[in-house]
Amino acid sequence: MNNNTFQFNRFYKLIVRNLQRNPKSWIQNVLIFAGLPLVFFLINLSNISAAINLANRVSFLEILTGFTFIFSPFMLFFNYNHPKKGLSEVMLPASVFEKYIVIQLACILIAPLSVILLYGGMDTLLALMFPKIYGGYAVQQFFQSSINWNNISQMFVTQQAILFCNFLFIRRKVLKTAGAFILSLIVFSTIMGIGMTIWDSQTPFTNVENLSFSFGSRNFFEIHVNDHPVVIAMQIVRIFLLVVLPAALMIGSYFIMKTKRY
Amino acid sequence: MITIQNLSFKYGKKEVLSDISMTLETGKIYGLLGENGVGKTTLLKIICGLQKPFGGHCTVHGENPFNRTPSFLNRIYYLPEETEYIQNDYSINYFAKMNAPFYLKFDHTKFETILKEFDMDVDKKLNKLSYGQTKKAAIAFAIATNVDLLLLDEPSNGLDIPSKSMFRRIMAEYCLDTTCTIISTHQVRDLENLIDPIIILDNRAVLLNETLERISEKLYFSLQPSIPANTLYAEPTLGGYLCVSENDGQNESRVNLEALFNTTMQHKTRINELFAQSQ
Repeated sequence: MNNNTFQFNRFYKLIVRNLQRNPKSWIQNVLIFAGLPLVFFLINLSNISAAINLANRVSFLEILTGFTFIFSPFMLFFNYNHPKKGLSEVMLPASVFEKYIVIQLACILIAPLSVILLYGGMDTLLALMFPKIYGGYAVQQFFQSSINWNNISQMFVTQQAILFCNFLFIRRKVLKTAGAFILSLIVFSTIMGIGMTIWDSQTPFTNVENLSFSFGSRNFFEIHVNDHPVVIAMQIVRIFLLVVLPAALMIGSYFIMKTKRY
Repeated sequence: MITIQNLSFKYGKKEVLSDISMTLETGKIYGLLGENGVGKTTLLKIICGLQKPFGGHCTVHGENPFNRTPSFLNRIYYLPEETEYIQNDYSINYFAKMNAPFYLKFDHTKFETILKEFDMDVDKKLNKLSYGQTKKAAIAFAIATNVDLLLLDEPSNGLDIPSKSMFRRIMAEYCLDTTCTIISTHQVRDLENLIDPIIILDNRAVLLNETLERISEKLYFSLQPSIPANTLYAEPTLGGYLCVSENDGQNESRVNLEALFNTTMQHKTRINELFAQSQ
């Protein structure tokens, strides 16, 4: 790659700058995410522990991590394409590719990992110090039971859609993003409904009631010859939603960054 | 350094720049003047790659600015009129710490000296500063980048009177001879003795792109008790009229930028003809 596309030294500087960008929000995040287990611990101490058992702590970590993962484009790069506030980003001497990779890294890895580290770290520390009051490790449970490719891929496509909308819309972006999601859902459901109705009228489904199928047990591209047509159709839709769509959204976000006029 | 050929630009259906051509050289501080809405800011944005021309070409060091490559961005700095891009919850020192590493020729000593001369509190958070103070911080950073092309959009807006003269002095003292600076402004009096050459822009054409020396060769600025017959432009002033006429007798006079601007706007064709002669 030539110097104008990617240079490790510049990329490193960009990562450092990105970490330095919001010093106050880092402090706030540390206080919030590392403070929450402490709050739970204090609640446990006050003997109303039933509500703050391990399962609930894990659920809380799941929600926090999922929320941060999905909404990190808004949380971290809300003003990136602002006609005035965004100038310090677009005019920074680094390539669009480097800036894009840093944004993706921050959203996909740094933001959710920070939550896991801060919340999970404090939770683990408290569990080690007071095992009788604050039993079990939320992080361990989280990695054992909450992480699966199905969840991650669904969250990933949502995150990439939000990142795309964050770059596409300039003003009232939260409202417009919500609108775009609702509209996409309506269009998608309508197309699916019409498609199924037409298909059903031509080749009536047989044994659909008895069809037992779990997407979790299948890989993305796993379609068998003897699969029920509904399963094949659903697998194709799944490939579109979880592979083609996020790829298109990622390319789209990059393209907007590259060609945005200010 | 900058070559603009038949450049045109539209916002929707509204044409802002039409068939603009000019060449800008290194080592000069250009004053870009024009009425509201003629496209001064748009032109600066095209030169720095924030906007893409609708037609024609703009190249900086032979490169298309809109590609926004790191090697190009590293050689230019655009200081917009609004300083929202800099207003954050950290100090100017922190801003410099974050951004300076990307400018290979950034001079920290120069940055600190300019801030000191502007009497800036370097530890005060940028979002707590007044508009004028933020502007001073942004100017200090822009000059300290030591880039080849410095684009300043209304830099004296918001500066108090002492800061305006300080700004002129700082620009004259710290801008490198290897830098091409373009200052877009309405407030020509703030920048008198600093900008040379002068570009006067109309959305249909570059009405004037000349050095002060050549302007004073062609035009004569004088204070008259009454308006002489051959006067192109006159305005009442203390003790008579400030008159601008064609300089037939090779008289020397000091160029009054405001009067020059008004003359150019009132006599576009004549000014064009006058400066087209013996070029």
